[in-house]
Amino acid sequence: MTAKLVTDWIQNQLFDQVPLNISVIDRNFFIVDANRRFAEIYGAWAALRCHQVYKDQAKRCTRCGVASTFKDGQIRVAEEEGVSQDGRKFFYLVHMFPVFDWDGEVQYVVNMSTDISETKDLQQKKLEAERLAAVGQTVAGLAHGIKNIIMGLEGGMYVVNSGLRRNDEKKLLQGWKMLENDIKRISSFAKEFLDFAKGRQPRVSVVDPNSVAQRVVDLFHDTAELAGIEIKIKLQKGIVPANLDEEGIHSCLTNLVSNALDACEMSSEGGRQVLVTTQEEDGVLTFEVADDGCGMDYDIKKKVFTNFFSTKGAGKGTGLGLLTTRKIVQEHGGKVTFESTEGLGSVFRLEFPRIRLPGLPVDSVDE
Amino acid sequence: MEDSRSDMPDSSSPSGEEGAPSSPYKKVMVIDDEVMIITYITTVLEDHGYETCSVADAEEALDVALREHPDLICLDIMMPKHSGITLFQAFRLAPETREIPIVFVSAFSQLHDLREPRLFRKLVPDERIPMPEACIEKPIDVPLFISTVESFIGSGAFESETGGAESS
Repeated sequence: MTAKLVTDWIQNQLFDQVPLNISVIDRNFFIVDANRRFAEIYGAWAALRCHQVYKDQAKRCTRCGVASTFKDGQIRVAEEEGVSQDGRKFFYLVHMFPVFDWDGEVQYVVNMSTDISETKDLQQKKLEAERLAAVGQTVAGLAHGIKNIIMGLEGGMYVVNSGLRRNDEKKLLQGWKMLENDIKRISSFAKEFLDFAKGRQPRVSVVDPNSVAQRVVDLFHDTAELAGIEIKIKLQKGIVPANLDEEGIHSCLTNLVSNALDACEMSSEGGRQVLVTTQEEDGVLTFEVADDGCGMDYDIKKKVFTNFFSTKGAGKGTGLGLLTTRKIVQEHGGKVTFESTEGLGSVFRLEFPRIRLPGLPVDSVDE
Repeated sequence: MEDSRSDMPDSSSPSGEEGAPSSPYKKVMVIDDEVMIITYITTVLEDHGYETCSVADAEEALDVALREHPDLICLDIMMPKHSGITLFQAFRLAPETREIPIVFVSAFSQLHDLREPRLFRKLVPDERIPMPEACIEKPIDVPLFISTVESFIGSGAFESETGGAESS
């Protein structure tokens, strides 16, 4: 066997036997060649277009990576949902490579894909486990909040009774005030908890992240101005709309901006600026709220998400805001991170990897 | 905010005086960021014959303790600026306060960790610092709270004639 024959033999064997599904697509989106593994998964491909074979759909895909690679000659990677020849839906990871002709034009795109359904399944299970963990922490936090309120009510009753026994009007009034305060506290706690529960089923739609951030900043503009705090916004241009629960993200940003304004007001050093930023890098969409307020020390930082912890003093914060934020963000497959330095300020980030964002509800998908 | 008082007859507050006070009453210091909780706990203690002093700002707590010479400290855990754990360590390390019994009174979900030596050491790694004398969960059970205080410093010197045995 000559060296050339050996090379040809290896290439043919590789083409058919690598653990990848390979297809070659021409400029009209027809599949012109495919390896054996591809045919085993997708069945017949000759004289069919890629969207017919990969997805069993008549129309071209809305966001077509192959078309983009034909246009700019760039290698692309994407996660897609496909349909096998026996009708099974599955997820695959596809690399799209351009093949250039002598004139430097992209003549073909080679798709190499692998079934990642198991990985996706594990990801879903992990997300579900994270959600359950968040619920557990929430219940623990709720118990803490309720215990504090009960302590307040029992305390109010005790002090009222003590005032009556001692015939001490001052004591009586103190106890009564405690009862009044705690009843107000129950009311605000119940409201916040309802808000918290409301987010259980996110209503996902295609949302422009910049417009949500802008709405929140507009909402706080007057409040901030009255408090002498400057609230600014920096939006990255061209962020592609994403699958988000608009109301949920609005609540998260509202919580963070409200906390940032409070941190500025609590600052003895005169924290006076809140900056809301949006950006996307490496497929991760990020909202950021930064302030130059009082910041947090180590002990407070440790407790930020552990339960219904509030530093805002009696009757002001229930400690549900950040917990709600974390829950909503986790429902989007994202995470909340923060950095804070006591006396200098805090930065909270909501990070959403696009590949973990929830899908659109079936009835809202545009066919 | 800090407060030092006794509602008992003939009591003289030692607040601001130098040196150990010679009051016949046992004094309990209450540290909690919620003024309402302070009112509650100090009322309970006063009803049971104890003198009290209190502070809502954790930053002032050590100074107040040095001045007031309490016989026992009731300490909340979750407070802004300094947590009760940080404050506890400060009390245990200061020569003037290291011997004062400390009772944590908190709704903190990890309160049980402070009762268990191995978990306590995770929160307070400094081996020189002994565990707190007791941990009481909020909402407090008044008879249990009072019997805990009594077990460390004895009963209040004056049992309030308005009903020290009353519980919530």
